[in-house]
Amino acid sequence: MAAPESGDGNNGAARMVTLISSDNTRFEVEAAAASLSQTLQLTILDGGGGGGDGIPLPNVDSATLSKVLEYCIKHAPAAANGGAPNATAVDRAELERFDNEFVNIDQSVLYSLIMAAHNLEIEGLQSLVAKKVADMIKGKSPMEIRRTLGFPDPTPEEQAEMNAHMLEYGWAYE
Amino acid sequence: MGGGIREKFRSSLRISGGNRRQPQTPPPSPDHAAGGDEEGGGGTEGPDLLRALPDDVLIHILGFLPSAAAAARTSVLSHRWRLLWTQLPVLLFVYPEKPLQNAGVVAARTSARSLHGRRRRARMRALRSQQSAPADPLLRAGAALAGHAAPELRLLAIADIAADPDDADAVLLAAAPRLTGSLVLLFRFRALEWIGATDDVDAIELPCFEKLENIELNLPYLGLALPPSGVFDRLTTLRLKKVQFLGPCNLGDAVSSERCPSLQRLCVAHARGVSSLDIRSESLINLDLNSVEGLQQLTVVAPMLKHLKVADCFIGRQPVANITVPVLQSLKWVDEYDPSSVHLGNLPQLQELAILGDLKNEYPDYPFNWELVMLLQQFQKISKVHLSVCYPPMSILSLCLEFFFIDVIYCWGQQARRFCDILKCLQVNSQYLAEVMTFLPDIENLHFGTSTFGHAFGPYLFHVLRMSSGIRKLILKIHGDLKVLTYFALLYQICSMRMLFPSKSKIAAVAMQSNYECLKLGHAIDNITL
Repeated sequence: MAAPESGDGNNGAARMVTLISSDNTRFEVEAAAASLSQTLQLTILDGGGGGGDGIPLPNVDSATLSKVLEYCIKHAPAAANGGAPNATAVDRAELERFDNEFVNIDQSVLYSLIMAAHNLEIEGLQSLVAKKVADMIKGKSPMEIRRTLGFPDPTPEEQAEMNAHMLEYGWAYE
Repeated sequence: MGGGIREKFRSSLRISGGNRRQPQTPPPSPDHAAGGDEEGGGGTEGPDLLRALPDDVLIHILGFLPSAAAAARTSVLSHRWRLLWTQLPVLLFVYPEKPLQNAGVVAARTSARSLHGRRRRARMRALRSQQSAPADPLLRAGAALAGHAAPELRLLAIADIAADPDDADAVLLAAAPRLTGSLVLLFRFRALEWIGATDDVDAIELPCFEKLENIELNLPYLGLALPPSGVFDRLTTLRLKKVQFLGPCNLGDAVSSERCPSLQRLCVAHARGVSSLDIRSESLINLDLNSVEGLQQLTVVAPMLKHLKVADCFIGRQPVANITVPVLQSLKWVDEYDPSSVHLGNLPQLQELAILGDLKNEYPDYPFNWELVMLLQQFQKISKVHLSVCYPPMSILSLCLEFFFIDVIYCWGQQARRFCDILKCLQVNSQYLAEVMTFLPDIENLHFGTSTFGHAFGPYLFHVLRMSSGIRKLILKIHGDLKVLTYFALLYQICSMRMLFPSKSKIAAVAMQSNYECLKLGHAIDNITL
């Protein structure tokens, strides 16, 4: 995974850290990218994760981690610049395009990503995936929401309960 | 009766659900939902991976939905989801909802009615019965608050309200104990007959929000009653727009330090019923009074105040103001000025001054206010001055429209009601200008806005430039639809300004108009740096 040029090249070659997924796959990434995770940031600042050590991430499997790192590598340069100031409109549009593409994934992957973003505390990714799920729900009727999120169709009892509930929540259906 | 409603419900559900199988057969797994299947399908709590997500993550997701109603609709999913939306820290009732199913209307009506037991006014009832549109956002907010359970509510925003203000009282009272962040309440502008006379105005009673930080109210001339006692401990920003204060107004008392110890920004715009305003605040930094109609006396004692704007408050009356703001940095006085009754004190830190202009008045009738030039002359040095020449427009309407969004502006040639007035004014202008503008403070940065309507503005600008020779940066804003020829003339004028400027000065011309051809030329002008 070739990382694009990192924004902060303060000590020559960018520092690399190793992350180890739950299924023992090792990922080597630039410290700047991994530092998007608030959870990892402190460890990395303390000098952890370098050399042969690696930082174990027992809650994240390799498929999810590679996806998370794809996001981090793409967003690291912009984050290093402190967000917007010198980012051009083109850069922003490119990031936006990447984000849209990035969340265009299977729901099971999406949920794993949500969990990983939450555990690793990657703010941008947390919002991105949460927004994606919200978009899936938005403007849909209860049954459509159920089906979209993979809930089974209701049993007659559940259906009756749903109807009663919808009556109670009339204000939300106007 | 109830059964009939349920029948309706079922049928509407079936329609929205499309050609699904009958609900009687419990399905093993949803057939088109992506994911879920390989994780073992969904139980009643949905697919495993979704179920595994902690509550705060799901609540975070709900926070991205456009409205509180959309979030509440997810509560049909399961027992767990039923509680999720009630923990949302933000409740929005701001976007018009796309109607989903009509069946909920009856229920909402009932719940809304039980929310408030107050007597409804006959005209209100009449109006609501005419509406077949969705229930008012205010009523929805009331119903939602009844079900909402989070101990802390960071934002409650309700827009486009057409309901009776009495309903707002109930909603505000329900929200007051848990609302900690911001309250935004925007009423829909109502027909003129509704605005009515002063004694027949519906009033909103604002409870004392002890934990609230921001309040923004826009109540197109509904009454507002501020709480007679109580302290808004954490309030930092208060914006009141189109409010009408009833009875003796206690606005000054309510926003002063004793009852608003943290208030930093106060904006009162298009308010009625404030004849005397006395603000004494240790914390206030930004004060914006815009069209406080009928204001007769203004007193401000604010040792921390940095930005003050007084606009269109004293129009047509003798302005009486005692203002003690020793660290003021920016003053925008777009109003009557009389040095004998407006006391601004010493302003040693003033950096920015903008006077007059801001031609939003519907009745652009106020006289030339040369006293404002005296205000300008009070200062020895100001780094930034907003200055504008507005020539009598051919159409007053177009002028009003143009200035609607434009920054504060200094203005000599005011628009007058009749054409003969305009001619007279023009004569007065040119004579007066030379007489009065004999001295200007040392200005570094001049924003010169002009609405030329075909007139040449050169002489005025040159006069100002000669008076204040320290200008390092000049920004020209040209409003109005200029003809191409005028542009060439403008270009010529700017180029000939070169000799008036010290060597490192910068001139930027910002042309603000819609003519495409001129825009291209405007771009060329933009790049001139002397």
